[in-house]
Amino acid sequence: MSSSRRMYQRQIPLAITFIVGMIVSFDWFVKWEPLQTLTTTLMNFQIVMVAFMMGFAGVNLVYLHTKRIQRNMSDNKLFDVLLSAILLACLFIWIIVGVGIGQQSDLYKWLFNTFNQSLSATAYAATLFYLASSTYRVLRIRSAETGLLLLVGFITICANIPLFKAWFPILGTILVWISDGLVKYSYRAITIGVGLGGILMGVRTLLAMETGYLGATEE
Amino acid sequence: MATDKHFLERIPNGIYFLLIIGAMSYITLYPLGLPIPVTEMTRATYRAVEALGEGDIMLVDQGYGAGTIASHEPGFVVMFKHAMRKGVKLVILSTSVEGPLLLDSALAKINPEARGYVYGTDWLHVGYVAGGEPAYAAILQDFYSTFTVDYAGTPLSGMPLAHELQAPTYEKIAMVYVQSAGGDVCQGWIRQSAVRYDIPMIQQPLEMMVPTILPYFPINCQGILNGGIGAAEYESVSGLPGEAVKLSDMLSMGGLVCLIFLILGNIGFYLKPKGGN
Amino acid sequence: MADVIGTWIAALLTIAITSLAWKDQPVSKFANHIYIGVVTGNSIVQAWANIMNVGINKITAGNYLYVVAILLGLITYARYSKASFWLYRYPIALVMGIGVGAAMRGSVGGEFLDQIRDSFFQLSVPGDAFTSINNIIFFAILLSSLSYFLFTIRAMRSETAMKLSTLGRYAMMGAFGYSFANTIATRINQYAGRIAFLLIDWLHIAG
Repeated sequence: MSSSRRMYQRQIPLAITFIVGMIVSFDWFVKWEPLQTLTTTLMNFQIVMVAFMMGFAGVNLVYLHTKRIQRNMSDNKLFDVLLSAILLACLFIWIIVGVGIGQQSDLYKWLFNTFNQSLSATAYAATLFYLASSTYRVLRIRSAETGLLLLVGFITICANIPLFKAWFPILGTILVWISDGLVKYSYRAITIGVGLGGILMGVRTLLAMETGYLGATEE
Repeated sequence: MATDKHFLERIPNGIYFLLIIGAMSYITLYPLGLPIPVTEMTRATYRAVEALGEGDIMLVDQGYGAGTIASHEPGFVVMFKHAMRKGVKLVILSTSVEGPLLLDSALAKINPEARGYVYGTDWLHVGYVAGGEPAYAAILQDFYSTFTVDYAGTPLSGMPLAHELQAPTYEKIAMVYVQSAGGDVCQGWIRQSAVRYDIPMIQQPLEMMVPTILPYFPINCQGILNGGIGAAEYESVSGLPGEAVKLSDMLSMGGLVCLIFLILGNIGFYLKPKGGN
Repeated sequence: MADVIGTWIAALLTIAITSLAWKDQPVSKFANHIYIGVVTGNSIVQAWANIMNVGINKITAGNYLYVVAILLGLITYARYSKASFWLYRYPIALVMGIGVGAAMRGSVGGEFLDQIRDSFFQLSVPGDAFTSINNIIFFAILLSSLSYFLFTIRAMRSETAMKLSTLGRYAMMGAFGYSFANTIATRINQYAGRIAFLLIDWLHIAG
């Protein structure tokens, strides 16, 4: 890659990351109105840009499923063609109704309440069965660590059940000890570690040591 | 190999799943109506909201989707009702793409107009906001520069409550209430509001995200509602009954079935013949 | 009438997705594909509303600076072109810089200083032996859990230090047990909502 191409394709974006990151960071420490206005404007720009990036999901789905329809048509897999066609149809219907007619419209609300709400809620909730299956088939007391994990888990499940808590009020006291002591201080250690790691990753990103977000290069 | 397992470890998944569904369905038809013991974390949340005065503004991130509506909607409803009882004004936004469309279902249970709460003056809904943590920072810095219209498309210039949020917005907000399925949203709000501006904060993460937020209690986060369980406790402590109490009965039965099978699986593991493959 | 039809469709889709727990079959695949389409469609609708609210409305109100934001947003789609991919790096550089700056500045206080400050509590409380013992145990849990993550310090490989980090490992396993129990509670609560919908709103056999 020539140096001028490298400059505008790589080094200028890295410089932008550094400059903008420093401006936003300085805003925390320096109470100066022009800086605050600039930071607020940059953050509003971020809202708009991220909203545009949410369209990537739609573009990827259209690309992927168009290719699948072409491939499955030639392989005569008509059910798979139907599935991809339904997916794309739902995508376009939702966009046309939501953007064209409006998400405040009765039609969009009906579509959302009928399809989105039931499908999202059930897809999320149905993982209960996978969790329950793994609880039954995989979780075994094989060592002191897993024994402790299951013991605390067992006590917590019992304490979260009002039936057991009514029979054994001591469960409430034990649960408070577990949550306000064991869990809080263990997770505090994890939080401090994660916070430190996050700060270091942030510094590395601003100093152009982490450049993965720029995507693949031609070099 | 399956034949090496004790029969207690070989109960088919179908029976297990049917038992869970059956137990939870049974309790829906014949609820127990057990009293709900209230934890100190929920009491702390209640005290934090009780400390607010009439006219104070609560910024609410109704950041839940349809996937977590069973836990979060009762929490939103009871918090809104409690805020109305205190005369606290609410500004509602959502960091979830499904949040704004789920608000209608919650409002049908709250009915703010019937209780004298006027939209635009006492409460406001601005809809979904993308952008993550920088968005929270921008909203708290200058709400009015971020949003131009409310969720219905009505200009904010005609709304008295929006005018009260002129920059610096963080000085006008008395409390932030965050509901989210994701720990990153909860932590983001803590960093941008509680750590930066010392704004009192209460949160309702899902039960499984509570351990991630516990280290911030009570230093940055004055109260945490433990998901749907916390919502049921809050309904109990505030004297504003709702739907979370019904779900707690179902949690009892579902949890009981899971516990029984956990014990059976471990008993089967220790009873199975040792040696062989 | 529309409500009744909607309830029936919602109930059948609920059962279709639940059938995935039994086996991946045509009915669950059908429901899954609808799910992906409608969720993506809704997220695009919300994104559009956000662009209108935060971007385009400001331009029509006279704040022409936001034309830059709209242009930068459109430029992000250059990622789909091999020749113009480099243009995509400009908006993503801005997004990363703003995001990293915003998150990092709060991390130092929230995840580091405040956590450490709150950990300096009184170990010995006069007249309250139970609280004193608890405080000592909790402080030991914190120190041992922290020591578990010190991988690059040679001194932490000594026998005493290894015992300390083992205690930390046990403490964290206990904490994960609590997390596991709460995860079960979360999923049960969410499915309880679906059962309540099926029995109350659809079949009207419970109230």
